[in-house]
Amino acid sequence: VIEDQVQREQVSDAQFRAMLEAFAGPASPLPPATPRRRRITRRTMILLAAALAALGLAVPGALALLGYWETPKQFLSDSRQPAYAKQSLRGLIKAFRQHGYRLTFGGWGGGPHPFRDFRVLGVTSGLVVHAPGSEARLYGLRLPHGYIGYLFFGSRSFVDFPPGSPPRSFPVRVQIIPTKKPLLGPLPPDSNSVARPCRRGWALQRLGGGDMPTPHGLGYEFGLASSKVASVHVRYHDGSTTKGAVGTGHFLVWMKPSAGWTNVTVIAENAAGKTIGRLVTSGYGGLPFTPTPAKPGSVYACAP
Amino acid sequence: VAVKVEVSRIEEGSAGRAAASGEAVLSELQPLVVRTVRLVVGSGSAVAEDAAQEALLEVSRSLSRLREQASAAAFAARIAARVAMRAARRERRFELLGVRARELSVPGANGQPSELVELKEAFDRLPPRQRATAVLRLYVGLSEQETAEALGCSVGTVKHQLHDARIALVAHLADGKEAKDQRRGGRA
Repeated sequence: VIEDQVQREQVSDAQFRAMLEAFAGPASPLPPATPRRRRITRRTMILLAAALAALGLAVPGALALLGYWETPKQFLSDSRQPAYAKQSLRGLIKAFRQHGYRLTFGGWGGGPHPFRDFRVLGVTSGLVVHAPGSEARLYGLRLPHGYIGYLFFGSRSFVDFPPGSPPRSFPVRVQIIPTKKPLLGPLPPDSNSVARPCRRGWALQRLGGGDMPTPHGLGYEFGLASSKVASVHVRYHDGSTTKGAVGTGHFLVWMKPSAGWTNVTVIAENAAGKTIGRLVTSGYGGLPFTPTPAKPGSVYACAP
Repeated sequence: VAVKVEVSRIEEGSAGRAAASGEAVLSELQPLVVRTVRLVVGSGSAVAEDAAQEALLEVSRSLSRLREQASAAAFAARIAARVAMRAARRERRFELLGVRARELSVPGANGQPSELVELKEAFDRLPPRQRATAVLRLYVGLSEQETAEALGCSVGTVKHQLHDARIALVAHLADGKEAKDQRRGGRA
């Protein structure tokens, strides 16, 4: 059709030349009217928005590079992560795949309403604390359905296995915390255990803790730290202290076994060294003993 | 054609002055270079003017390679076409991203008959290579052989490009008319 049209409506050489001469302009280049050569149209804005969205999708990779969090796949191939952490994560992924996650006391098995699609979405970079001759690590887990989770590891020496004990799985604790009332099934029996955001001015929020091995091992305590917190340490009743770690919005401290049946205080300081939060906890980690008993709903206590 | 006259003047003048300075040659080639680039990149765009400057610079740098003064015009046209196509292709990519070159008012371009304006708009929608072929053949007045050498292709390709350019021009003009009719119909 177009060929026919060309035959009928041919643009003649004369027309062509006339047009080219008409728009050829002066013999010298024209001076620029504005410093900018180009202008941005609506399409640019749409493409920019699309680029930002793509960036949003690529953020997991970017954040992994910055050390914030990684996808499980990235974590498992990350040479900076210790083998025992990878092994443990593999085990957790497998457990979720095989059994889902059941909302029962503590979470594992037996409940009537398993979340079959429960899976680990991401892993934060680890926090490390060093006890004498050993270390402990904490990794945050991104989980679906409004849950957050934590993997806590102690190196073998952290829990002081007897010499010559057979090689066995390293000590690991998994803690899965609901941040809202689950849509399926009942809340666990300790139904006050829904972590909620702290009030304004908070410094620390306890999320978990314990001792390892149970009972009477080294104590540990972890949770959220506000952006103002620069360092944390544990103060014992005798005035001595041990240093904890703060990073990626979390804190992790360890307690000497001798603290055992006493209460200790986790102290948060800002960059100027000023105390901005105090959290009382038991020497075995977790809820404090009397005379400062846990109030209902204070499992995830905020400080100050 | 005015340009053809201008080119032959350059050739005669250059041949006659073997010892002519590069500056003089350049000033004689300038209209050819600037207008070629402007037409290929798109008359009235700030980018075309920048490309014209770039082409002039490139011609001045390459003058030492010019062996025969008689072929100065074809030599300059070749450089101008290359720079212009490069700029036009870059500009096409920017346009795909929605970034358009700022428009400039080219003296003499305003107040042209509407047929010429429509033809120019259709011409600006042609691919850079077709535009360059048309400008070198029909405006600069190079032969098919010279155009082929300037664009680094065969004579057959030059013929083919011109043929395709005409088909595309007619199609673009028809599109333009249709769009105009639709707008009129909508208003009515």
